[in-house]
Amino acid sequence: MTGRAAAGWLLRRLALGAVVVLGAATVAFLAFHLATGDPVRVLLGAETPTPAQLAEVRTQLGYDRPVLVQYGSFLGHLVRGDLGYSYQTREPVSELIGDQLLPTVELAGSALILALAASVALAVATAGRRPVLRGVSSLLELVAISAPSFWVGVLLLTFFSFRLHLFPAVGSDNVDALVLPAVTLALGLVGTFTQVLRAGIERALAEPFVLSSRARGTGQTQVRRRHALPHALVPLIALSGWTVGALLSGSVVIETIFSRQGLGRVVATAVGGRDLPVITGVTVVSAAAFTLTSLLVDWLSRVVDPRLRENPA
Amino acid sequence: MSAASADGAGPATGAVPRRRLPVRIRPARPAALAAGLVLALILLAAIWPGLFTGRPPNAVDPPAALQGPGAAHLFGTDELGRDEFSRVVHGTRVSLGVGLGATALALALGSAAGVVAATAGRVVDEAVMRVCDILLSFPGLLLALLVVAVLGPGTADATVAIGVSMAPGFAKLVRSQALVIRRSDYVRAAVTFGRRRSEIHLRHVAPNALAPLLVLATVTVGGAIVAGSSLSFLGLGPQPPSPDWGSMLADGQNYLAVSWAVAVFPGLAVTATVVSSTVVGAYLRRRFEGRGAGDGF
Amino acid sequence: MTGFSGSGESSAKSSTESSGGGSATDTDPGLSPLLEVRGLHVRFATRGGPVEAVRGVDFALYPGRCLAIVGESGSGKSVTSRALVGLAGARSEVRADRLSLDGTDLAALTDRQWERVRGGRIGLVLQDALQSLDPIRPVGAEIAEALRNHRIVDRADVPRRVVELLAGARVPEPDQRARQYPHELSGGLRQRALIASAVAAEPDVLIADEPTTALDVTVQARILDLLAARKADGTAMLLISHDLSVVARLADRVAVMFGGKFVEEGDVADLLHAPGHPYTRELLAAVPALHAKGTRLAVTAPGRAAVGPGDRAGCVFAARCPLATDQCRSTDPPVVHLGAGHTVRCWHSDEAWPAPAARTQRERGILAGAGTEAGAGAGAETGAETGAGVGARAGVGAGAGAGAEVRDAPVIEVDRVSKSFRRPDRTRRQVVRDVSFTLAAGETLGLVGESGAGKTTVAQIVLGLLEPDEGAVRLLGRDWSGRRESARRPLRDKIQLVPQDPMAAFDPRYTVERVVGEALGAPGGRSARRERPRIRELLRLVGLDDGVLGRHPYQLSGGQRQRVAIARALAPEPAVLVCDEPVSALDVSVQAQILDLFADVQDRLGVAMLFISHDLGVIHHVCDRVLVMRDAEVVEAGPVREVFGAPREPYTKELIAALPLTD
Repeated sequence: MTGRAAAGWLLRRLALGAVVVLGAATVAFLAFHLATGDPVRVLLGAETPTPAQLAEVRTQLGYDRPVLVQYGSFLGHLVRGDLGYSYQTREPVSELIGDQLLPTVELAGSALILALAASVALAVATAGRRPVLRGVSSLLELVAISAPSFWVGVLLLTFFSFRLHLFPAVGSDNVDALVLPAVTLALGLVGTFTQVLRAGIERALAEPFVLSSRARGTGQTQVRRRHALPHALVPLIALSGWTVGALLSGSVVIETIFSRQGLGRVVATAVGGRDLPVITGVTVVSAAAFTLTSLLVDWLSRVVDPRLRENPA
Repeated sequence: MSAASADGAGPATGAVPRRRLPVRIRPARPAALAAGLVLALILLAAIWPGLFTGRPPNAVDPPAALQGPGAAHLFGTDELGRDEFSRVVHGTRVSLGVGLGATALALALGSAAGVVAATAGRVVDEAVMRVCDILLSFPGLLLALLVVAVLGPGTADATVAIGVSMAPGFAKLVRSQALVIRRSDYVRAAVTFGRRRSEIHLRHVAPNALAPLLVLATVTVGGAIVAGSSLSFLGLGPQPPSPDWGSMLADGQNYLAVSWAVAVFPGLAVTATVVSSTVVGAYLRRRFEGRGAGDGF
Repeated sequence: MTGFSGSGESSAKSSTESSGGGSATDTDPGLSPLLEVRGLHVRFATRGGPVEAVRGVDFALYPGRCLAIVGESGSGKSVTSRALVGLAGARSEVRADRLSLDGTDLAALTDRQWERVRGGRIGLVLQDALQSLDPIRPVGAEIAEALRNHRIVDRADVPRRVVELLAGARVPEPDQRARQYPHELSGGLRQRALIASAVAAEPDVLIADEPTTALDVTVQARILDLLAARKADGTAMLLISHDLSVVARLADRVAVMFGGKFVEEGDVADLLHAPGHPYTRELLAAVPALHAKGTRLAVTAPGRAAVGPGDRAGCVFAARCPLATDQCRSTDPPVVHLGAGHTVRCWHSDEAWPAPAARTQRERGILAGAGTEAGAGAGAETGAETGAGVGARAGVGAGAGAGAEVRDAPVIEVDRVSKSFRRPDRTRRQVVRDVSFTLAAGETLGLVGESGAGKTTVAQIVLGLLEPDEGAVRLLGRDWSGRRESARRPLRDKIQLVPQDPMAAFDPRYTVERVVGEALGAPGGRSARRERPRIRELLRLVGLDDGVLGRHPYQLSGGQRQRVAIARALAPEPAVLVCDEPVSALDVSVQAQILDLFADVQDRLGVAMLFISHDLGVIHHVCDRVLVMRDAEVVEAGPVREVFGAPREPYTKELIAALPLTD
């Protein structure tokens, strides 16, 4: 593929991504307006406001304007990075997200690294050999995939914090406090990653090119490293979108269990309190992040597997 | 367990070589049978909880609060002294209901959208697929959370939320299956027999595109159950005092220092349900694939 | 001269090790065997119990000589080759009385030592380099891997040596190719790169397992030349092939393998001209290029080798052999010496072989219930005769109306048809350019060419599945292309397809009954059952019994599936069959049976055929006239005898020169 074709591909993908993010914002806006109950009432909270108060706030927020005008101004603000104000804390949503992003990224990043390291080791060790170990491993993987993360988190908490007092039960200030949440989040990924990697390695090992390579005098381990593992990475990379989703959903639950700061906690609180501007904001931001990830994934897949470069997006 | 055995690579078996996308687990027959048995018990508990326990799930008995498992209370009691075993058994219906309901909804919405996209021409196809892309850009639980934020918490709302969030995946699968089948040699053959387009869609495209979906759905039920219990753990699903595995765990979380039992059993119930339904689903899919039909993913 | 020596049990006792057994002329005093194999057994553990894939095979390889092992799929030939490099598979068990390379006992090697032998002493070239080269690494990396594994040159010199090796395999622009990925290269270049990687560490033994299968004939010839050059340089070679013509070009000696045993071995000329074993004779009889149209190819009944556990007594070929007696089934056949170094394991090697029957006009008359048929090889069969044939056939419905209409007009007229497709980069690729031909009733027209020549696109245009950009197709004198599908539908019955891959052409949920029923206009399960008598009749016509009715296609063998596909194509009583590579995925003996079936069907039903194949041999055997396609165009056309006997175009000449075994 020429550089020009690659640039064209990237432009097309970026345009497509922009359309998707715009769509996601629209869905969030629609959700905002479809929501049962008057947002102004939610905003004013428990006190019973007078009709005059309601009307005043409504005008103040621009809710009395036609929906299309509101949509336009919503998009206009969005482009400038203005996501509105939280009903609950009255903070600007963009600031709220900015503040809470780092702890979540920290959690998700460490979980991802942990999961990748563990699953590569497990998959390479058990793919196509050691049938007993392989059987035990696949059973554990299945349990790890099936067990809900809130349960795993609570179990770890029960045993390592309340029984053994090894790690703190709450907080997000030091590395100690990161261990249990990260392990919890990683466990769910390890099962899926290992199964995908192992299936990929085993499939590659059955291919004629592996036989060819072995017939050239390549040893068992090198064949796995040089030929099988790169092939197994392709489906793993393709899984990235799922991974981002799993990390984000996981952090919603895990930050709640471990009382950590973070975006997940913000979402959980906002959904419970029906704080729609916050939910809308997080939704749009994560849709954008997700779209960028999938762009990155496609590019990465094309790097790993040159056959994919033949087909334009 | 024998849940995963390598594909027999023996030569000269006379079988048609198959190159399929990775089926992540390939359960053997005995494992699938065992899982099927567990699943049958769970289904029975959902339909007829009285068969397993005579105690009402919401009978409060404060003096007996937070007991460990024992003869009187098999799984112990919760913070209000309610029998944990009875609540787990009665919770089956709620949790399974959310999982099955959401899957059924996703299946209906998804296959309808997929079939429409595949058959109704290019413009409709583009539109449906872009909407799916947009909905799929909400990672993981986020779409479900957005739907709950709109509808408010509750059992039915959680079910709809999860169903809606799973539907685009099904729609894309149906459509891609349908497109592959439409280009297949057997559809081409049907054209050469002078069959009509509508008849070909009805007889070849639809059944072959939808059949793998049904099997896939058995695997995704597990995911829907986990999602449902996650929502209820966050307090967004079934509301108290309805016994539900997720909310039981959330309630119990505050008493972990006193009783470990409140944390173990509801989660074990979720895990057992998901493991058994996944194994059964994967086994069905493997059997189905043996017939040389289309891929899942 | 013999470069290889095989031995029967009897002679092995009387000969010395170095002579390799066999007869006296087998002894090659100047040469000692490089690789020696004696009593090789390979057994696989499968779910249904152990399967003995190789059951006692002896041979030796000499420098500068080539031994070929020939057999059909499942005969154990590939397993034998893999056992020689210690890669027979994870669930295999290899036993041998002797397995030595240049005096070293291979059976005693450790894993480490094996790695030095593989590639370093014994090279292996596999079939289909698209799958045998890692698709996500540049081809140069694969060659470099061999160099590094065996530390052939300094690390810094590896890239230079890779380019040299590619150049040595006659790859043009080798430095550029080394950086390309397998899918970016043509099949021929890929195979050269694969050979370069196998010989990079200069092994003195080279095993080539179907090295030219799936390649176009002209490319095939060049790859064989490359291998021949290696042989001339002193490499000992083992060639594994199902294709006798490939073997004839490269091998000095041939061993014919069936059911895990060598049933016959000898010098290539002896074996091809005076085959002793019934299976060898069957194989030779089945080569379509050697037999004119109108001759039967298949002599034996369809069947599989008995591959049971362990060594059962009796001849492995007995179940399929027309000469088999009780003795064959109960007692191992003796090794019979037919001539110098030519041995055969058979009780009946001296018996006369049933001559390949010419389907005489009388026989065909009986079959068809009418005496009017075209003679063998006849170019033009008149419409009147065909009409009679069609009218006379019983049961399968009366096509008389269509026959009468067809009488004088050609069935298909293709007039200056062109078609192009858009490439991903938006340029257009001309796939068919200005192709014209006519197909007369009852005639067989061959369409031959290499992959990518545009044959299949022509088939799809003729079938009305693809619209031509320019030009027109007429079917039975009526407009066929450029019409709405609803206007075409009434004529659809008249033209049917026999596909290359019937498995893909059957709805995977359907049983055989429904597959055929759909073509009869009874697509439902219940309506298909109502049509059962006709379905049975059609299946009987193609040589299948009622047992297959309720089965799914994946439960059938390749040959049976193709028979079902033919039955289905015949169901709507077509005037034309378009056969798109219908036998290219089949073993030679099965291919022979299916080609015979096509001839029978045509004799009985008088259907015209457009027969597409890359295989000139098949075309030569089946067709009356032939069109040669190259790069989207027809370059030569004419009666088969003229085109094959005196080709005019250089391209056709090259094709025919590459057509093996015609000399």
